[in-house]
Amino acid sequence: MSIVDILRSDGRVSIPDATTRDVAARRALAIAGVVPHALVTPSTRAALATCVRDAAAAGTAVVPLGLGAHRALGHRPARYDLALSTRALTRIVDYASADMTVTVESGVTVAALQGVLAREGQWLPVDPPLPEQTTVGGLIAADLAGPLATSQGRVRDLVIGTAMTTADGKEVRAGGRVVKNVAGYDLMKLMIGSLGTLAVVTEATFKVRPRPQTTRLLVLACADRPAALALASRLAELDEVALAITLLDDGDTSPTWQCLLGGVAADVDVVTTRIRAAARAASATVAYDEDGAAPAAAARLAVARDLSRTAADVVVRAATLRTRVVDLAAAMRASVDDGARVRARVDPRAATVTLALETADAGAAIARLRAVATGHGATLVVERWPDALAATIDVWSPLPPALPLMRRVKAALDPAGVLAPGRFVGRI
Amino acid sequence: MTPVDVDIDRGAADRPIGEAPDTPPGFAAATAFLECVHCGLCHSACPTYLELGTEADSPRGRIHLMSALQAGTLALDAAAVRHLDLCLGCRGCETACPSGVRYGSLIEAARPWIEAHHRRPLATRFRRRLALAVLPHPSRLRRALAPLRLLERFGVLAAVRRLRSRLPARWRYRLSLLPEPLPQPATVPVATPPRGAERAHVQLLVGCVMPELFADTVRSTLEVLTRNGCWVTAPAGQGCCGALALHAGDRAAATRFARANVDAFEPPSAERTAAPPLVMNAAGCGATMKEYGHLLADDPAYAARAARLAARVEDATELLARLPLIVPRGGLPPCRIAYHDPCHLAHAQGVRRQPRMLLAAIDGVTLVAMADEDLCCGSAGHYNVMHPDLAERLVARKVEAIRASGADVVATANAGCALQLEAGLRAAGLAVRVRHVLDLLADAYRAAE
Amino acid sequence: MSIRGPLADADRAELRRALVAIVGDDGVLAEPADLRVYECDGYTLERSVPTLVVLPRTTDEVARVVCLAASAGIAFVPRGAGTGLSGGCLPAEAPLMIGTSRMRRIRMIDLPNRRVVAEAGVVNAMVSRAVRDAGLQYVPDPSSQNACTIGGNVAENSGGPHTLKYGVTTNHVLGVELVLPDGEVVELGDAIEETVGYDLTGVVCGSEGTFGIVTAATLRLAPLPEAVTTMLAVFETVAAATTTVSRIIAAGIVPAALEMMDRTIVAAVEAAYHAGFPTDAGAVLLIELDGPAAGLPELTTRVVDICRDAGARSVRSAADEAERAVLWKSRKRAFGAVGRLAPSYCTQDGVVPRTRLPEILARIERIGARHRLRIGNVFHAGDGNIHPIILFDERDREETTRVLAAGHEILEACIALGGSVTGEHGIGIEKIRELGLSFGVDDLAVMQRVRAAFDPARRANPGKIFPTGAACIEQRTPRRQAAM
Repeated sequence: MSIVDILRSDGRVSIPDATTRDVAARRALAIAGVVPHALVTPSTRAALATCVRDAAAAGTAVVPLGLGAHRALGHRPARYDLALSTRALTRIVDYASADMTVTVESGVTVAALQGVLAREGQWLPVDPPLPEQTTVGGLIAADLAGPLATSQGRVRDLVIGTAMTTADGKEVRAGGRVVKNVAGYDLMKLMIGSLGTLAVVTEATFKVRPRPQTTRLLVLACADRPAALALASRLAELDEVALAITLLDDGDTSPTWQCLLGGVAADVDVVTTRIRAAARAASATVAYDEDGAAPAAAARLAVARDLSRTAADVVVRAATLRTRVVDLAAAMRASVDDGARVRARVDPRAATVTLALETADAGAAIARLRAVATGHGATLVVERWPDALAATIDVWSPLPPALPLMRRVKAALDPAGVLAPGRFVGRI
Repeated sequence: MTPVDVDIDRGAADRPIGEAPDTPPGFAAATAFLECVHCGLCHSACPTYLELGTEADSPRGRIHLMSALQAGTLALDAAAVRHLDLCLGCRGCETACPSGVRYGSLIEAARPWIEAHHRRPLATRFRRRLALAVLPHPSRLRRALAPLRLLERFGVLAAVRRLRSRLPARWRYRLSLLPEPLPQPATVPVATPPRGAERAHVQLLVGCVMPELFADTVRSTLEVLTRNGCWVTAPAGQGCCGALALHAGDRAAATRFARANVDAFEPPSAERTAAPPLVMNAAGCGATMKEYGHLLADDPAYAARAARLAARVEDATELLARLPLIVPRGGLPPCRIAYHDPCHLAHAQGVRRQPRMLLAAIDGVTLVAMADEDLCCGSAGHYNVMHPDLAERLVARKVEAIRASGADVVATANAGCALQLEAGLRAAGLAVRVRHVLDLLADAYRAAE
Repeated sequence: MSIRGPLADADRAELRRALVAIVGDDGVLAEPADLRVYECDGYTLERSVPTLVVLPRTTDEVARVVCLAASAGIAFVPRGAGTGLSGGCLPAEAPLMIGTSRMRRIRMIDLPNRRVVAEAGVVNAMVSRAVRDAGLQYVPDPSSQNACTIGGNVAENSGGPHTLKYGVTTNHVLGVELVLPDGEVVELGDAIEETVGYDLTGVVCGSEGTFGIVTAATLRLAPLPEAVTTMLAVFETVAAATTTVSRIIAAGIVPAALEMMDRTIVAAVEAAYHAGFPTDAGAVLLIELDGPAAGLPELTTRVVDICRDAGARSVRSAADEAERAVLWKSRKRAFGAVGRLAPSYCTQDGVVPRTRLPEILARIERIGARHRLRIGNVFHAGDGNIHPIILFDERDREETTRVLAAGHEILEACIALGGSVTGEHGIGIEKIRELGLSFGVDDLAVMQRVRAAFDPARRANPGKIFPTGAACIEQRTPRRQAAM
């Protein structure tokens, strides 16, 4: 008997919205091979709260999702009874453009939100993979700011308030709609990157920014990997005009730096000159130099950004200190078998290295990469792995020293383990 | 919004603090404490707070204590007195205070009240009384120093100094406070003519400790003033400015000294039109004498003359910068100089720019920046005699700043600071010389000959 | 059960002995004069004297002190420099105060990775001073930056004039070392930006000492801006000035700072600091732009044009660093100058969306008129963070009552306009009642549950933020209080 049947049979069902047991729909939301018993898509926040409350009362495990585009992140849930999607919560609650704040329900996609903001010449300075399939809730739950984070702030710096439904089915608020506010605890910080394990975000208020007057994309083609990495420290020093700086090394063509610039035209010109000078000094060629908003530029950026969406058996992301990122990138790349197909992305300012590989022995490859990361004092997140490893894999390493305290936080907010049990760090 | 009348005349500086008409049995008007908004911005400017980290040893804490003592809600016990005693009176907090609290006046008003209501331990009383009985009186000080001068002549003092490294740390510092070698006292003629064309007539306060312990600086002062075209007169009958007594809470003694100086510099018979600048080379004296008008405000026989005198007071560096300085032709061998602001010059008189200008005018001098240039060195009148432990910690902090600045000379404009800095540098074994700005200028003039 | 009230003499003596064994004789304050000065911070309306104050020098000492308090079941309150403005470190329901004023080491300066590790007692401004020669800075700059400490900044999530472009404390703290109320030392966050696990650092920022004691923080440094322009724009009316604020933002320009002073404040400031403010103007705006040098002239021109279009009487740029310093000094010390206007004053801290500034100022004026009170305004206009300053005479009891009522009404008005009851001063003890204007029972209950994960016995700074009703505090009249 499915969970929905259980809920219905004992009369506690009060899920008024679309509930589906359609196999295809459910399969589409499988996580590491586990298919939920049902998918619920409440169309109001009140309905969502009722749904969580009833599910909790029935001892049902709920995994909150948006469109499910990033559900591969995190451990396989210990139980996955109900997929609870926020995709029907798509209201723009309040857009005060002159206040540079926007409040939206969590099912709004990032792409849709950007469309609304663009009409007022503003944007939410984030660039997650697959923005059309990434909801605001997903952006928060998976902490997906993307390559703009260093210059524009991470998701934690942009969210100023949230509404969320806790495991007991109550919708609560933290923060507010003003950009400066120290009333009460900053509970929204707990939501960011928590993969839905503490509460279901139903609404969020963001600080937004004016769109840069001018944008420009420069692509530098480097002779080889060492030559490319040699440019890293020079590019990392660029000022706030450099919105995003990433190295893409896909193994097929020569490594390229994508430098997205934005700001006042005069400033963009100055930085362009600096980048060209740095390129010349490193014998790199400027392969592309165009308006950053042009479709061609956007496509190029998407390739670099969506590295983890390419065909790959394993995707890992390592984070370290700025001064170590070049060594880390080289060492991680070197640890991979010559035969394996590897794509790599390096962000020299966020000090992250992302590697996507096609390999026959994923377990061994992950183990080697983890050893390299640990040796360089880096953290490692395995973003994708073969389902077969689900039971044994450690998605995050090393585990944080405050893990016991994190367990206490989870226990405080979701004592019965209703929300996405086992998904998080240390299988919280 | 509707316009409002701004009652600017009620500004802090115009209200008396001591002896206000509505003063209850305490020592200050209750409203004087209200000026402190308890923001704590004075913390970073307070040497004792920086060193001790205790609220009661911060200006805000001391105002809190004084307010409670005044209100009678806190007992005047040894702990309370110690916190107020530990105040250096540097008034660095006044510079930092956004509300214009006149902390210096508050603590000055509190001190006599403490003396009247609190009985200190015998040894402390003795030490304080001895210091006040000797230091402000040149002849007594000379007699007190005589045996030491004898010891020095026979090489005994030198032997003790050689043993310094084996002495306990606190004695090492105390010994270092003695000038080395002890100078021969300076005498200042009643009138000294200018060298070259006359540009000004100035009166000079010779002071009490200066001619005995800092004779060279007194000589330098005369030299620099006369070389700048000054007729320098030093009227007879002048003496200690009263600062030491005032800081120790002996207001009666302070007013006695002040009256004597008013009689010397501003005799009742004096021509009202003659108003020469009254200069000195010690910051504490200048700060005190600029306040003579307030100090003697209640004395009808002196109030007007005291106010006139106060208006004429200038630090020697102020005067020289204003004249302006005749740039020495000689100059000094190339040196890197850091300038230490004496509290009673920078915080009490607002004189910061002038000494630096004078130094910069000397050929060969490179002024270098130093951290916390205007933080008290711990000298503070006779503070280093009364509270040597804390004074030593404060100067150690200063020595670190000097070391970091890379200076090879520290200049200052107050002999007490110079002595304290020398002691600290000597104890730390740092080979940096300490010179009064006027000594450096005198050197530069002499070098031209 | 934990001990929140004053200790019995025997218990106090025993606790004192045990504390001395940990921190030494000079680390424990017990004399009445020593303790009295800790009865309040920058918020002076309510006071409570601690039973004992302990001043540890190291994290290990803090941990042992907290452990001792835990085993004795004694509640404690952390304190930095005591510059807070909401009574956050008032020992309301805790006999033991733990001060960080002796934890003043900057443990590590890592310029290439742009981070420092500073102990809790390090004064905010010292961090920037330590790295300035390398062209870096620690961005959050509360007006009390020369006195307030990093530990206090983290507890209060402090702001400052430059938060408009750069954010507040939480946006610049990478991690903290926290002593939990049971004495355990935990490291939250990391020098690495992408940390693993829940963002506990983020929730500790602004928790007002109720999660334990932060003993050190890893802070992110930022490059000093290549160029800065500071402008003073003079307006005939407050409305013209606030309209300008909105138009600058609407033009897609994000200034580094955007500060407003009304006529009352300008008059006081000019009397105190002689910065050349016109005392007959309705309001002035202090506008600071910073960033890369090449584009700054263009932005400056645009801002000047916007000001003029909105009816500015004059706009002048600071010619040099000295002039800029005078302008900022006038702004940052404005509250001090207000002391010249009245015997007493009381400052509020509220927030509205910046487009609602004209409305809130009109409401404040109406509230002032209704209660027959003079109110001046000096505030962070770019953030919508208002600081109305109510002038009065505390010796007038009846007027004092009106002051309290007006303050509450102003905060209610902020909430009605979609704002908050505090932008940077915190809830502390001052605004426990007003927190209920922002949050419902369920919201507060969830906050309490998170607090319980850190401090199940509620022994860390009890009696703050949330209502408990057990405080033994002496209520004073409202009086002067600093506004930052």
